[in-house]
Amino acid sequence: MITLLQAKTWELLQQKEVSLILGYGEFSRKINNGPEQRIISPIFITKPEETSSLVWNDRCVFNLSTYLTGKEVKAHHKVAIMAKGCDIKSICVLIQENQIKREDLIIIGLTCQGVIGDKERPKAEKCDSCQLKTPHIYDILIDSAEAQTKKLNQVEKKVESKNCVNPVQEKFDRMDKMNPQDRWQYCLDQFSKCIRCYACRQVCPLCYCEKCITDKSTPQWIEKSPLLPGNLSFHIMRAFHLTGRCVDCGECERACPMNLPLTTLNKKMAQVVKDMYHYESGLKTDEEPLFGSFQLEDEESFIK
Amino acid sequence: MTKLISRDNLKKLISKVLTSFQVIAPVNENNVSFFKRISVYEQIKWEDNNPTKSPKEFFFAPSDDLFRYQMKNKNILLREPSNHHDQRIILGIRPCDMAALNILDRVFLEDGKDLLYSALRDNTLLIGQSCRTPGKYCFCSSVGINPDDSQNMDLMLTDIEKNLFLVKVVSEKGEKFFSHFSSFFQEADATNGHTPVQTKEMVDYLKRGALFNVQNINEWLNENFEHPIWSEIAAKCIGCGVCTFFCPTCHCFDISDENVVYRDSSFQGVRRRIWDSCSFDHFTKMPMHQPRPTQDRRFRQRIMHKFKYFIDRFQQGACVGCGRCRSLCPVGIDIIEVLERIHCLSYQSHGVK
Amino acid sequence: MSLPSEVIEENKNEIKKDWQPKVIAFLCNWCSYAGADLAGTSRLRYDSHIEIIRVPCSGRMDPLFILKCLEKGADGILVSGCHPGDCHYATGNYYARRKFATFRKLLEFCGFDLRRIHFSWVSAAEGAKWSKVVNEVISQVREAGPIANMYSRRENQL
Repeated sequence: MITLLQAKTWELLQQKEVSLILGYGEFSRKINNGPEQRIISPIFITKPEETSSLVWNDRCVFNLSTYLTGKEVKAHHKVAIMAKGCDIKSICVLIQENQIKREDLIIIGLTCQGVIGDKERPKAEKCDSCQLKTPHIYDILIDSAEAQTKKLNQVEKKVESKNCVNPVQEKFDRMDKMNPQDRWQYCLDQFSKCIRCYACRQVCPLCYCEKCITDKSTPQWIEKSPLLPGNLSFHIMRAFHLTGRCVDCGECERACPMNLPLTTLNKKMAQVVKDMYHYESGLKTDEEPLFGSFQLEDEESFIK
Repeated sequence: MTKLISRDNLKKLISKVLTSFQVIAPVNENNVSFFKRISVYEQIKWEDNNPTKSPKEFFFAPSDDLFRYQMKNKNILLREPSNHHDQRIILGIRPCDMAALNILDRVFLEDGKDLLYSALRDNTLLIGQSCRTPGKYCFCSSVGINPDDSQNMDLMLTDIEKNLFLVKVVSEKGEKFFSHFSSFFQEADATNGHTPVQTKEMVDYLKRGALFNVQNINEWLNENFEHPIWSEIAAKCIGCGVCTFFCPTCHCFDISDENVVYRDSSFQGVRRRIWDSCSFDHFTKMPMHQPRPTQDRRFRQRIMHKFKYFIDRFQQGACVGCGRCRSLCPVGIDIIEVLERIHCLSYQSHGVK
Repeated sequence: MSLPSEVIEENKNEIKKDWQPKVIAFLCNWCSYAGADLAGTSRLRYDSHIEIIRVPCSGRMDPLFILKCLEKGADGILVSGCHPGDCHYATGNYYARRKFATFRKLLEFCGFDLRRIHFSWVSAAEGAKWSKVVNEVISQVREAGPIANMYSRRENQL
């Protein structure tokens, strides 16, 4: 059966409206216990006949907008991208920061009832507080499949009945409630585990700098060794560089092989920015970025 | 030489050993399992398979101090780190990680000995454990490693009953350790065969055999440095270091001066050896040139290093089938998928062998 | 004087007995730097444990400068620029204000001791304010103690 998604994308490529489609594909993976595993992974489609491998279901967790700023994708003059509401927020920030042009992009918006978390949790953490089940910016809208809604309703019931906690939210609340000394120790404990694989940075759609400050060695701003003072500086700077930009897509924490509470700092900063400047990232493409603008009456009680 | 040890006795043994050795064993924190120095036996988390992080970091640390230096009035003072280390025991190392250590040995000990590595290797006793069930992502049998291989370990534990291990004393070092603590062990019953516990999955896993032939892959790689599959597979690679940092055999490093402090006319710092990864975009960056400017070339390097360059140099592949890279990749790149494709391509180009 | 890194790696909790705070001040070239100058020429007395780095504008400040100083052993930081509306480049200090406000909140959330981080507006005419600010900052840093205490990590008790 050909889905609406496949038909629309086929048309886009056939009529040469775009030369590349960033989408989700389904692959089988050999595992040793149990039957074959079906996993969802990003795919790059350039030929109309390949569009039949595109899928949209509740396991499409990745934020594909990470690829938009890559050299290989930028070489295409126009691309189409499959994106959920949360992913479109990061596309929105990329447009706002002049990294990509809206007219070079066809956004295939996906209405989403929530995606499934890849660990023990049946539903991804970010979906609990989702406000954008129907995307706010799109060119083509693909409805969530019937199957997805049904399955997630079941999942939701399971979540409620089991009183399943949201681990990301739990980590955030735990840190938020600590006293400052404990919070500092908690940061040291957690970030000393970081091995600097930079998965968080690479997977982040908004960490698009050609050369990251951590890779500079003359002068060296942040030590490369996965040791304490440097690790802490790296994570504080990461959180700061994403202040007013992070759209809370949760990819960094999902990618982190050491399970560090990476979104905790980002979440807090989003809260701070909302309280202090009534600013929310990723909603409007024509808004001035947070640090590229100011108000005369901005908070300054902390300044002597 | 084979002996028996009960779980209770193992606990007593480890508690005893903790007073005179550093004991490194698998633990679990934040839902991630890794090897860590423990202070009490209860910290150990016995799992069926490999911890997420390999024990590589205890021989080749993510950051090793090579030396400290101080420059003062044109004099250079150097201080090497002390190479005195406490005796260590690594407990619960699996055959694949052991095989990986042998691969690191070839890099760091053959042809010029790496002093840091060899000092750590010499003072460590390795107590391995064979696998009773395969991990979800394991493929050691495809690269020629047995899940009950005791090669190069000092002692190896094998589950034979619920709370009983068969202990194989493999090396001289192991024998010495055994004779020192022999009161904790029991004699193996010669009439009872003591068959190791194997789950049904393990039987299936061993029956299935290799998924690909390393020799064929090596031959195909010899001829296909340039091939469209590289860019096809690596298109979705985001260029993080997860696959290489968690790989028990990857051993590339960078050298960097850190902690540099300038004061008056002198400055001092420490020169460190730090893990590096071929998937980082600055890995081969030189002042005027970047020989691997795109991600597909970096990805190709990883496969080539494991299945071509290393075989050319050491007549042995540098993948041990632990499956860490395939289970941890944030975008789901699967090394088995890559190798199976290459395997198929090699059949197409050479016909069935 | 002790290097923080050495303290971290070699003798974890040993701090010299005669410890004195070291505060790094980043001063805007057009106002605070001249203000500090005025304090000097007016012979005003203030605590001398401060080292000044001149920057072209408080908007030039990258929070990374602050972290790097702390990592390298500064016990406290002061950033000082022109009063709102007085920026030599018209708006630099407005942008800086947003950066500092959020960065301060971030450090606060990480549990960093905020007695070590200070911001002030000091104009070229405010020599007296400068000396007052410096004394205040240094007394707070003195209370907070040596920075090496911050970076030493308690091993988790199991």
